Amino acid sequence: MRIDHTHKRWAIVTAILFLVSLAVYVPYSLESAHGPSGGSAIGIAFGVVGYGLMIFATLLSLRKRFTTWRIGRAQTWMRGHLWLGLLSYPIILFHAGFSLGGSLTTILMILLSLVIASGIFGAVLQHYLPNLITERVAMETIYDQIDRVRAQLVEEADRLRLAFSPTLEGLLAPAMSNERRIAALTLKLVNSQTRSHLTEVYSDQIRPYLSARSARGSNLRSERESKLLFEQMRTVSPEMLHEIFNDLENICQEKRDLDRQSKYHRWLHSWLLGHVPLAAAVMVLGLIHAVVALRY
Amino acid sequence: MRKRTAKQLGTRHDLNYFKTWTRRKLALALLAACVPVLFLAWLGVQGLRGDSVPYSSGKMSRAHAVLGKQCDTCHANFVGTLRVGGFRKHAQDQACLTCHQAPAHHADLVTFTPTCGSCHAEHVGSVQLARTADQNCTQCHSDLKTTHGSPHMVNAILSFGKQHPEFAALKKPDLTTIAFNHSVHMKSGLLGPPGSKTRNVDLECSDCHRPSGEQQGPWRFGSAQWQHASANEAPLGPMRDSREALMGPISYDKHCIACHSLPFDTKAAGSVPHETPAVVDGFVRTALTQYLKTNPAAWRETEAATRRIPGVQQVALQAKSPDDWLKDRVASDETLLWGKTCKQCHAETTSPDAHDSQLGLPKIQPASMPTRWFSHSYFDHSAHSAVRCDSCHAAALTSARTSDVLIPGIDSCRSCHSGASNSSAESGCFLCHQYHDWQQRKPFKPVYTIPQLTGQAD
Repeated sequence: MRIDHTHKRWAIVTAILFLVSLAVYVPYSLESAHGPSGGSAIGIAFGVVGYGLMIFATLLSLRKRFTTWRIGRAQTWMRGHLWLGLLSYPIILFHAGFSLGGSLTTILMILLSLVIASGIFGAVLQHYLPNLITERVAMETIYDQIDRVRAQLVEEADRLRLAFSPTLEGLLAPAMSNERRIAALTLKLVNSQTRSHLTEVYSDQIRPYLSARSARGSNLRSERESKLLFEQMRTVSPEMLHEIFNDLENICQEKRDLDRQSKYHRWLHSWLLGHVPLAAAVMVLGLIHAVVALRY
Repeated sequence: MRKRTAKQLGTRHDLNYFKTWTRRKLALALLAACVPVLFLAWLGVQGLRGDSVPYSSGKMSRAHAVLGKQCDTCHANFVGTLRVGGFRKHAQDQACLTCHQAPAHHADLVTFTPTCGSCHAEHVGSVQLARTADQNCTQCHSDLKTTHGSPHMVNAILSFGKQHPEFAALKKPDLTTIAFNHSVHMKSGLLGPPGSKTRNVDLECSDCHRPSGEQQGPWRFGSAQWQHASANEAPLGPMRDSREALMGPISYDKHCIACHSLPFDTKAAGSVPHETPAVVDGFVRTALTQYLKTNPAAWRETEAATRRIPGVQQVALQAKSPDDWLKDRVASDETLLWGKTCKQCHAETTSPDAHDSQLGLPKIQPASMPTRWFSHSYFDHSAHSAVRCDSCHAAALTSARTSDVLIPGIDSCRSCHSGASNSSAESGCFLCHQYHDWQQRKPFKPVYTIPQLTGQAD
């Protein structure tokens, strides 16, 4: 989600709430004989509000799980998650009086700090990376469907391969046009050495590259290397097959885009692997802290 | 040429993809479940060990750190003075009083008594528990009300730096009956002990004023005994103690005698002892009797008239017998002593009742010299040993009257103890005042053993 003018109202409301909290905290802090404490009436109030904000921020995951519920737009929830989640941090600091307390509360503060830091990092990534993906990934698809699309690319390439390495079944396949059947037969009859070379290139380089999730070590990961390879294939093959190689080259280009998209999406979402579990730990330990502190 | 329409692109996706659990979603869910469980497991292990420390609200003070794992030592329930176990969120006063004495603060005057924990905050790290915040005091003293109504003292004190009355000792004159002129003694080039031919004595404050712990001398202007380090008092130990804090009392024998001897008669050498008139009287009689025994013809000598007391003209004496000579001589010497020598410093009561009815001797008024000027607060001279005496006691250089109180005023203290948070010396109430009335302390019976306190007891 880009942090644009649509966030203005949320930012203003958050700033106002922060200033109000600050206006309560400063005199309370100065007048407390032993300094601010989470156990005082105002300290407990800050704790309740801070934990409430964290609960609200956590509800975003439920909102995402139940997309059809009519409880507000997901974008609104996301903005609330972002700004009110951020506000929870100073409120909790006010609750704690900027001290760490015992080991449980120290762990809680460390976890909350990590959650907030990872959240800010994620927000920055979500602000800049989508534009970068749009610029650099021409054939973008749904991230979770990349494996499925890649399998379809492999299927499509296998069909094209029949043009220079025909089998009887391939030649009879309904998906093959008559022009390609003729081209394939011509190649088969005219130059068996060229045919075996092209088949070898496809089997050893193109197909492994397309099927692999990461394809490390493949020269087709490089656009320049890819161009050279397909240029060479076109050089040694009859002109009527050039279109086949153009299509294969295009498929490889799409695979490169998918790989690039995967890489950007890993950046875009990997922070969640820290943010979400730590947030879950904060909620659970926060509840235990609240119960123990209020009960005992 | 490879052509792809939007429709073709759309159909290659699984439309229910969001309902399926991808590896990423699974990893996220697994981590979100496992990480809290890990922390719960940690708490569980601590619970099985019987360790409640994770739930502590903060680090214990250094004084109580040994109790860090024995939460119930302080957080037990008490009924009266009886410990009944269980766990109590806020430690009761009785838990503190099991180990500490804490006599009440003006028990008959205060409108409420705060709990121990409200002033001595625990679980806030390595703090000095006695270093209580000013707010604990000013919650009452900023607008003091007592059970008897308005108090006679200043009833609005906010802090030492901002609103604190002048020291009470400065509000009334020094009622000491010993006449003393500081300005005369602080002049340069004093004559010094009898026999001095040059005026070369420059007195220093420490010639008379030193902490109680340094009273053994040597004293430059004390008796011969005191001019050298004496074994009469216990020497200082290797450790500092409270005797370093307050100045010791002034005594004639240590501080005055070298210059101000007490001669009494030209026939008898030496001085009278610095004692009561009765002792002095006895000493004079004995000394003259002894002189008469040594010089049996002395009573026949005519004593020339002298003018020993300003304004009093003495006539020539001619005794008729040794007893007569002795009587006249004692009377003459004591007239000098009571009328001049003693009176130079001491106040004598002049009313007839004040004279000893049997001996006809004057009564010397008690010196009434305060050994402690701040009766309700504490000042440590040793903590201020880097500061020159006259920097605070500037008036001592010019004071001519005994009634001048020479302790510095509050403004002098505020030069350093201004109360400014970062640029001043400590100025909290606790620095000079104590809340607990230690005069009310009672015999105390300890209850814990070391293993109980350290958690090693079964």
